[in-house]
Amino acid sequence: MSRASRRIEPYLSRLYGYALSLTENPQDAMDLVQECAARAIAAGRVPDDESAYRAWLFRILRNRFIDDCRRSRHAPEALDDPEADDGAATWQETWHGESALISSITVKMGLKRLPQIQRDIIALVDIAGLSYAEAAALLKIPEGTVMSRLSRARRILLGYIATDNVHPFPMTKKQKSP
Amino acid sequence: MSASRTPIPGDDELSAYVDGELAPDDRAQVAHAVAADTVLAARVAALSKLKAAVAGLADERPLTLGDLDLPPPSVRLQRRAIAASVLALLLVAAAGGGYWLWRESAEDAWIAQVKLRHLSWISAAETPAAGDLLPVALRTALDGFPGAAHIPDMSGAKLTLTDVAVFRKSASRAAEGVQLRYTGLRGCRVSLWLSRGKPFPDESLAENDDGAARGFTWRVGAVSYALFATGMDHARLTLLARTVYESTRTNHAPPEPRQHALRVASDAATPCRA
Repeated sequence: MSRASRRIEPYLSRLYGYALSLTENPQDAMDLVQECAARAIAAGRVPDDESAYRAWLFRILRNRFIDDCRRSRHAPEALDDPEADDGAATWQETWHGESALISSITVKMGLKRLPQIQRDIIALVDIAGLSYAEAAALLKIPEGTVMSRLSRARRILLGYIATDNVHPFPMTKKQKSP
Repeated sequence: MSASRTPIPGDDELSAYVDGELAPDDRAQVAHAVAADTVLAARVAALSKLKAAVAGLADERPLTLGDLDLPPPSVRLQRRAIAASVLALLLVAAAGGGYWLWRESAEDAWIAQVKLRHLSWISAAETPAAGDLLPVALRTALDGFPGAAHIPDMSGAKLTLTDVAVFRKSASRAAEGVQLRYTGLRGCRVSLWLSRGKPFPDESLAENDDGAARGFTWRVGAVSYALFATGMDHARLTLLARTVYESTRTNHAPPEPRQHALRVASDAATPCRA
């Protein structure tokens, strides 16, 4: 296995997770990861620093997604809409639920309902593992905007989880009726 | 410290606190506030659980390079290469050398694609073998390569044809490339790639080495060939490439003296380094 292949392998699962958040389709996500991996492996110049390398990988994937959307003339949902950072609801308005409602199923359902710009910031920080500074550099926005956009996205996501009809099954056994 | 003396952090600060993105002083202040307020503590708990649940989504589909069918250089790259080539063609055409520049660029893209396929194959944890289906797979794969009826025998170099892979731009199109996969007893893997309808490489045998994979390219009529290996002794690979090159040009198996030379070279070579 070449050095370039060995280096990218630990990031493949996270790249796929991020790709899935962008495309919402497993096959498209896999195609995106494949193209990203092929490009990264074949690249001539690669960042030496590991965190810079990680940010570089996710930038490749994200730019590729945007290019694909443009090429297919299927405009992506806005990924850089400043309006999305305005008018944040308060915590009290969105979160009435309990932490027990937060599970992989409810989170996936909630993420699907989020506007792409908010899903994107959550995925970049929590799935890709980028710092605020790295996310800000990738999105070309100030770090403060990353912080507020992420906070708002999480509040809305929690709101969806609290009000969604999908809830995890209770873990207790059913009691037989007398 | 009482809650009344500690500023109540806002949602942005709590979110950044969970991410470990606050400066030390701010972090300490938020920690004090959270410790003194059960409502804030519940928010932090919910945010932490949410962050962990989102991060966990990436673990639901663990991926390795073996799961990927690495594609040829992206369409975008190809377009760039073509655009660069077209531009170069226009600029240099007046000087009479445009065609050759385009050809060089397209050939580089083709070689990069072949190398990627080879590296993708050798990076797979296990090498699937076509087994009894190999003859059928070969017939199907080489259908459309009428000029390549002869399948090179590398047994002299102690390499066995174990699998064949066909690559298409889409399911409905004919094969654009066929990769014959040869496997040795000491970890060697050799890819022989066939493409058709390309004006490159030259008909003569040419070496290509970028450190990751070493190989040779040549063309016989409309069929372009590339033979790549990783970590193989240079003398052995060179002899093998020359043998396969001659074999594809003559459509005959290599003569016995050459087979013997290959055996000697294989015995003398160090095991391949994957």
